[in-house]
Amino acid sequence: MSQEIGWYGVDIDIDDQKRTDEALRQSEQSLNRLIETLPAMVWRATPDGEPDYINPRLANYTGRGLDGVGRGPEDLGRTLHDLVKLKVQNAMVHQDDLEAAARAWGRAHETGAFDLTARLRGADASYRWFQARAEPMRDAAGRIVYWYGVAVDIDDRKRVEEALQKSEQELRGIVDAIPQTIVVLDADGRGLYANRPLLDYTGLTMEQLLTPDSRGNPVLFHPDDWARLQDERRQALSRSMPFEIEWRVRRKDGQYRWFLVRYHPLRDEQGRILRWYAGGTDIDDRKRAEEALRHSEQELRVLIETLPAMVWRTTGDGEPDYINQRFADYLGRSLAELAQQRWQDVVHPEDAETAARAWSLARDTATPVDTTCRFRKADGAYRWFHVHAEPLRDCDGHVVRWYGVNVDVDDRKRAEEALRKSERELRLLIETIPAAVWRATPDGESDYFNQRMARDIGMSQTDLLNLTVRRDLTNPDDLGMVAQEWARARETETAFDSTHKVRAADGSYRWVNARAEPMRDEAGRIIHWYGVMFDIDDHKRAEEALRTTQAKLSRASEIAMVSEMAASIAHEISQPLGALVANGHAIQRWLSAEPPNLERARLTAERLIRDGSAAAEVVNRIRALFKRTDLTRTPLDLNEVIREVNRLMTDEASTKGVRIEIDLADDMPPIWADRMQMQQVIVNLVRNGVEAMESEQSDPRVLSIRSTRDGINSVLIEIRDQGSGLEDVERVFEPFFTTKETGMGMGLAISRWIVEAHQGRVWATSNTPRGAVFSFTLPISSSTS
Amino acid sequence: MSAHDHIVFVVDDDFRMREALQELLTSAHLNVVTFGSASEYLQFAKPDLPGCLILDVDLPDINGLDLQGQMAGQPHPQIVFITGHGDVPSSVRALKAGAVDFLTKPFSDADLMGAIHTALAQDRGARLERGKLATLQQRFSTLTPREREVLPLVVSGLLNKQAAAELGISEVTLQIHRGKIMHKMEAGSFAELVRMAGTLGIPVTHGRRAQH
Repeated sequence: MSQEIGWYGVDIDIDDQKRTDEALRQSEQSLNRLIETLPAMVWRATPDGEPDYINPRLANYTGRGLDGVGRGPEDLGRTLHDLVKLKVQNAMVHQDDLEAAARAWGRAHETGAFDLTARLRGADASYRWFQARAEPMRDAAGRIVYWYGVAVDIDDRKRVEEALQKSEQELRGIVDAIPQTIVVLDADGRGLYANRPLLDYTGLTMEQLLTPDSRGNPVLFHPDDWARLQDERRQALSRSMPFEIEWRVRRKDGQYRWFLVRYHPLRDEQGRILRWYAGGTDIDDRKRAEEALRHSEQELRVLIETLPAMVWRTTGDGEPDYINQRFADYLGRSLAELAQQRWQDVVHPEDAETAARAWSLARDTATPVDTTCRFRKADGAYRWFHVHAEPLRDCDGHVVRWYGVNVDVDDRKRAEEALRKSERELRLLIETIPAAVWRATPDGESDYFNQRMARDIGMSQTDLLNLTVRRDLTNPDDLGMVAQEWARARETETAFDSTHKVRAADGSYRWVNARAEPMRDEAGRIIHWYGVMFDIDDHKRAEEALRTTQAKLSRASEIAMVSEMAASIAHEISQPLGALVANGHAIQRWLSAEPPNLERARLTAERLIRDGSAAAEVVNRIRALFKRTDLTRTPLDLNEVIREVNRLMTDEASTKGVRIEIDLADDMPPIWADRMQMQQVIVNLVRNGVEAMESEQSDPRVLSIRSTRDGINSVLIEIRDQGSGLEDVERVFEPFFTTKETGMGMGLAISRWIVEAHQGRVWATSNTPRGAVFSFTLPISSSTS
Repeated sequence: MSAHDHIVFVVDDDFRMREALQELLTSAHLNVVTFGSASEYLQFAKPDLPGCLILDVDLPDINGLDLQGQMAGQPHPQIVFITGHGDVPSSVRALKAGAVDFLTKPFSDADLMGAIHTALAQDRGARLERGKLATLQQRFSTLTPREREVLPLVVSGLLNKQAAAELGISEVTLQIHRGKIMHKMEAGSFAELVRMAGTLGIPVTHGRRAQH
């Protein structure tokens, strides 16, 4: 290959020489001169190959004439070959080339052309490469007369050639050593040479490799790729410009791997393509990586697009340069549209400031963004999103990208908001409810108070927690009762309910109604007690006022009743009395007349007596009225009546500072009595006792009611007060007898009437050391006695 | 007191009271008629005599006070109330409506007699006044329409000239009318005529001041 290029440079033409030969014959003289001056080494040899002429230039080179090589006697009988061998060897030709020279002469006889490349010794004894060529001149019979030859100094060229050959060898070594496949192609793209790596890779011989398959396609490439790319290759080849193609090359194991093949043209001086060098690089791994990358990128994209979140990316400056489809759909804007708008256009105005702050803080500090704001939907509605973005830094630490994701938290947010709102409302409700609200642990320790309670009590909510509310705030008088109720509630795990007095902000004690219910967990254990405390002081006072009014009213109605009764009695009696008096006057007139009209007087006196009797009758009727006994008598448990009265009278008594104690016998038999009347008797006596103590200043003011059995036939009730006592124990039961400023003095009288109507007895005695005892006995019911 | 110059009515549902009062008043020489109810009293043809009505407050058919109210505005005897149980409001009401007295049973002889005599005297006076008025009314009824027109003008104090001008008649004609009026009304003087006109309730249409 490459050595062949080198041979083109010689333009010695044998034909010219032939003509010169002819010319020589025609003009030996001029020819001689020509030969002498010709810039070439010319020689002639006998048909045997014995040089018989060398031109001066050749002689000059060798430093001697033919004499030195002339045939001596010793040469007789030797063949040309031998001669040349001997003479030329000795004289001119390098020993190493003698063999070649001999072969060349041999060939020359066969072919009729001599051609030898050999080293000739110069005058200075150094050898230079020459090419010697010779053609025979024949006579008419075709016998060789002479050999005419030239010798051309090709030493320089030969040396270059050698260097070239060496370098080519080295190059080939390199070509085979580099881990690239190389193919040399002719201008039409036909393969000429393949380097070792390619052969090794394909497992083919050079020949196999360069031979197209049955369809004329290179065996190298994947058929698909060839089908797809051969036109492109052909066109590229015709464009004579370097190009590259990626295609798959078949490996010896049959597997195709991707190669990037770069085609590079080699041109001659005219720019014509001489060769194409095609260097292939195995890019399969990269290709696969790329493929994998593309695949993974695809997957990532799908992931990002299908993620139930809005994904976005901005430049380091915050300019959006990617939003996923979901986000775009939500906003109803493309990325391009978004880029032209301010971000405030898509964020709720109320959230703009917060979002801006979060964003600028993140950018200033290059720290992740984490905020919540509302984004405007395509339809104009807003939804809450949790926005989280992370910065991506380059190697210098500058933020080059922000990657963000918006998660729709609207439902959660709304739920939270609703929850918060309801909680706020509930709290507001609890804090503003016009009642004190508190909570206690299962063992009764208070751990929450609402503002109202704190305000009512005049302490902060915190201070309240630091004291034992019950002990410190409850009226000492009520403490025992409250503690007992608490103990009961906790014991039975039922509602707590207590009415007692609690110290208010102004230091006064106010009536409250405290109630608590336990709250339990699933297992039924009490987690907390929830309680309310109503200030019922006003109510209580109103109640007291009402009771007072009622008492007054009942007293008033009692008075009214008595007064009406009195009026009725008066009318009943005044009628006959009126007549009686009038008759009396008439009698007086008849008797004092002149003369006295005795007859009329007597008649009138009769009427007078009659009217007197009528008046007496009226009185009897009235008495009978009071004795009227249309009572509902039933077997009655007096203890029960006493307890009832106790309940009725406790409040009234306590407003007057009197406590009622009852002491009831267990063995009280029933009596036969009217319940209402019995109640009235006891109420009258109790009220009488309470009122007797009302004006007393000293304590204790206790009214005790005691029931006992009195012998076998009766029961005894005693109502004992510690009032001012009685001046006249006999008169107290008389009607209209009273020591009090108010009242008609009828209560005790009525009581006595009732008791006596029940065949009982009532009396009063003095109590010791002070006060009075009112006692009454009633017979035991006949049916049980 | 003669038996025919007065009459005392007693209305009381209690017969004993009626008997006793009849006896008492008879013994005091008073003419007495008793009734058991208000309707009996109202139906009774009462003689035209000064009278006194002793009226029980509590009556079976109609309350005494209501009866008093019914009779107001028509001539009736002066009323003395008696009652079994006198209450202050009733007595005040009765006395305001013109009752002579309000006595609570049993009442004293003196109180009753005093009340009766006061009542009779008042009724007598009232009857007299009523008689005078009736006479004047009778006389007034004899006046001609023109004279009835002239009378208010002259008793108002207008001069004849003025009154004549008022009626569009001559002063002489007016004077003739005036003379006839004085005659028909049996007025002894112009001053008496003025008093009569006052009793009859004839309005003074023109104040005397207008003349000055």
